[in-house]
Amino acid sequence: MEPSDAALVEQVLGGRKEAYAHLVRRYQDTVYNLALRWTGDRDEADDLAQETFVRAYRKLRSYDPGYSMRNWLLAICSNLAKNRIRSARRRQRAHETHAELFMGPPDPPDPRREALEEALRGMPEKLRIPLVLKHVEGMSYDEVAQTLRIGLSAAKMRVKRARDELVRRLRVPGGGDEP
Amino acid sequence: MRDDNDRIRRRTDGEDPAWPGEALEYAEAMERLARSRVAAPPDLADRVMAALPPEPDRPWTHRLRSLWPSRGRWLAPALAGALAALVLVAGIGRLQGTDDRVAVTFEVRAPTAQRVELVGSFNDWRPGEILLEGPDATGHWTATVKLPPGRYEYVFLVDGHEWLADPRAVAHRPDGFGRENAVIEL
Repeated sequence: MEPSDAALVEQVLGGRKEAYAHLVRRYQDTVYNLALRWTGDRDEADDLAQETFVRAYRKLRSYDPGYSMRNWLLAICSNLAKNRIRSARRRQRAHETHAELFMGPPDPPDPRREALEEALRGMPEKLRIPLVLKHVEGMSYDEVAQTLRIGLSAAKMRVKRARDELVRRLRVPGGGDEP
Repeated sequence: MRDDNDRIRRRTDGEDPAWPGEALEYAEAMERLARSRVAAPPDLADRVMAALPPEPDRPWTHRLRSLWPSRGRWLAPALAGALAALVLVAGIGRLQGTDDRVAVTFEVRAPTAQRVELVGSFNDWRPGEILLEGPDATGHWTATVKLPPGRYEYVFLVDGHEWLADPRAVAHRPDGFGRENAVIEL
């Protein structure tokens, strides 16, 4: 039987550092996917996912075993991503050039997938991330709100708006930015 | 909203195949979204494990508590106070000498440039703070900066518009804008 998250955390805090690798493998796809939705770039997502797990390890003593490990990791990932985006935007302004913030995955497997990626890339992260947490990670609205540190009604509203926006963008490929 | 979600769930579970046009479109979009997951790079866990510090951080309250004898009454606070005072005095006395920052000299060749600046994660990418001196006879610009140990990304800003990653840096990484940053570890 697979050890629980709480048991693995206890082992790590007890000095068995290698137990942390189990936690990483358990949640690496989840964290990486959210990182990809935040950054839109595989290299950036890889780096953000790695930073998330390292940060989580450092803060492991403050982890509350009553709280979902997945949601805790996704909250850390989101906080790091927000900081990066803030810093990148500051830098973007310094560049005084148009920069492409969301670069697509290099090898979209099919046109439908490509259309979905394009639609998601065109959406502001304020809508895209709640949508991914709700409909890819299957979180409840409460969990979305906690992970993003926003109110419950804001979480519901953003998911609703994001769903409408996604459908609208899929309906008009390439023309999603028009009103 | 609950109705929407229930309908989407029923549709994705195959319980409600006969949806009218728009709702069906809705459900299909959510289905496609749910299937959009990709696998993490296979070596991610190994790289994470290699990058971990020796042990998780200890909150400062835990550290303080561990210094406190469990049955101490006056002796422990007195000793702790004396120790704190000693540390404070010693700290003030050695203030000038306890700087653990590392002096790093950044250098780049730009013989025709009028102005070269250094921006990086150590100054939150703010231009106009660190100006390089130059050019010297060989066209090189230099600046020496004291930085705390750590990992930093940086670029040179030439004449206020050209972004140049240090070609002599030991590593580079994408900056998310289609260019690269130089990386330095101290």
